[in-house]
Amino acid sequence: MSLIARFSRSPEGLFGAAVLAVLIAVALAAPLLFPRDPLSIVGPALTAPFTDWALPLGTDRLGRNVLAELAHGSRASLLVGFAATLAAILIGASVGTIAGFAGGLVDEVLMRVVDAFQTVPGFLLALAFVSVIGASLPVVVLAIALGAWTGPARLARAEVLSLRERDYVAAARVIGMHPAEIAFREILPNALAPVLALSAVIVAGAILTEAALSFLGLGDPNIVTWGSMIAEGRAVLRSSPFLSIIPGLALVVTVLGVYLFGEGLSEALSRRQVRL
Amino acid sequence: MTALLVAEGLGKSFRRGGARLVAVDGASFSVDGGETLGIVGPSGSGKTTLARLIIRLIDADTGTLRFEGADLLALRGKALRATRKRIQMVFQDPLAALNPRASVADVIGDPLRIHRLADRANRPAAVAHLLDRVGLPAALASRAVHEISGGQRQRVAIARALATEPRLIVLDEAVSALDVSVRAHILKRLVELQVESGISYIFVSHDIAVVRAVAHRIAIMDHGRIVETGPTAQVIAAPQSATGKALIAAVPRLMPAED
Ligand SMILES: Nc1ncnc2c1ncn2[C@@H]1O[C@H](COP(=O)(O)OP(=O)(O)OP(=O)(O)O)[C@@H](O)[C@H]1O
Ligand SMILES: [Mg+2]
Repeated sequence: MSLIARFSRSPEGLFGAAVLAVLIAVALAAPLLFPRDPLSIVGPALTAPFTDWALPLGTDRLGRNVLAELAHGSRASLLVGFAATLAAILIGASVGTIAGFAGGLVDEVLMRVVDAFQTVPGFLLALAFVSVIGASLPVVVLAIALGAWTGPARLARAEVLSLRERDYVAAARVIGMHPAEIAFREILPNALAPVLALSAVIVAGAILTEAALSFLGLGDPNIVTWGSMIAEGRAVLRSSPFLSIIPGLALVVTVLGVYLFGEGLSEALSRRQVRL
Repeated sequence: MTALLVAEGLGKSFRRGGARLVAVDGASFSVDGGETLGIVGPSGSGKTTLARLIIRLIDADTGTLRFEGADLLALRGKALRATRKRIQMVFQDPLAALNPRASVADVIGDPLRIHRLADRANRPAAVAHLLDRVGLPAALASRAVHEISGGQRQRVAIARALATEPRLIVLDEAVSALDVSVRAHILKRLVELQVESGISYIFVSHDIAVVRAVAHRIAIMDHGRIVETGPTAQVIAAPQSATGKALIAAVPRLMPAED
């Protein structure tokens, strides 16, 4: 049975996939659906949701279209979530592979670095990084990756440690393959499956961290994000709670969707491993 | 004839908890060009460890190893990788010894690429030729390793070992995992290849009947030591060591009276 067929048997995975599909569609279509700058003023301030059909979710404190902000905000959330995860897995898997394959002193040093990063909470690390370097999208991505690469690194190392004893690795040495090629071409691809299973958790965490950074005013100031929307809404929380609740709900549904998608995927993957 | 490989006093021990386990203990032997040396011995006698010492997958604690007159144990890094072109190995479990993600063309093409024996354009033809040498159809090249049978995999592993036209192939239980008819085919093909190219084999097995079919000389191992060496017919007809006697007595059809 194919991976897709196995995946489709898990209802939570399907739900997650549906949520993700909608989000990605919205993020891609946002500039077409709402071609105006989402930060531009389009109507009276603090229009309540569902009162004006031109502005279905109403307007914020400055009279900006909440639905347009929400749609554009999904771009930031998904972009940062996926880019930070990609960076974290790339860094983590490379460091873990080198540590596990080289062993000895290299392993010792690299794993102490991993330990050091792991003792600092990821959010604090991101906070410190962004406040020192300054907020822009690439910096935010890197800052979040900095707190998330240690999990993939540990997992990749453990996988590599078991894989490097396999005969096919010995066979690669016997034909004279260079150690770097053995590590990255023969071992790493086979060590990647469990590391990739981590990615959903990392994406979900990255989206939350990005929102938290934006909430604290440390996101990229030139783009709308759900975190900055929640922060904006806080000023009028008593009179217009919807301004915080709407992006908050979007955040919860997104994180839940990503997480359930990841669950379904790792379940489908592990079922294949049992069969092998 | 000058010997291709000469080992003297090869030794390797492993730490086991606090104790030291001597896996190979002062092994000395030689292999001539075009010759097959069979290494037999009971389970745990150190055959695999010896094979891995010869192929430089593990480092010897003691002893010397000369290959084509040069000190094999002194080689490191790039020089060792270059020398690997001339000594190859076939492992026991063909599934474990091939990258599960690779295609047959990758497995056989890798040594050609690494040692620059065929460029990208010529590699498919070279792979097809090697497949033919081990009796497999060229169409197998595009298949994934996990799609083919155990016997086919072991032939692919042999084709990989042959790719660089080595002078010596170490085969560690290379046919033990295969069923009897496949085993017979592969043994026959190995002998034919030896006649064609004058390659040498070190043929490791716990099964003396298999070794007898291919080896010119036999070395018997027990507890890490080589306890007896001699021409195959002579060792089987009149084993001198207790281990040799026990191994041969365990295979009734090898008993001299019935032969
Ligand atoms: N990496 C290792 N670490 C510790 N002990 C080892 C290691 N490799 C082998 N040994 C031990 O060395 C001894 C010889 O093992 P080896 O695998 O060489 O025997 P063998 O003759 O190949 O046996 P078999 O016929 O079962 O394959 C055994 O006692 C084994 O447990
Ligand atoms: Mg063995």
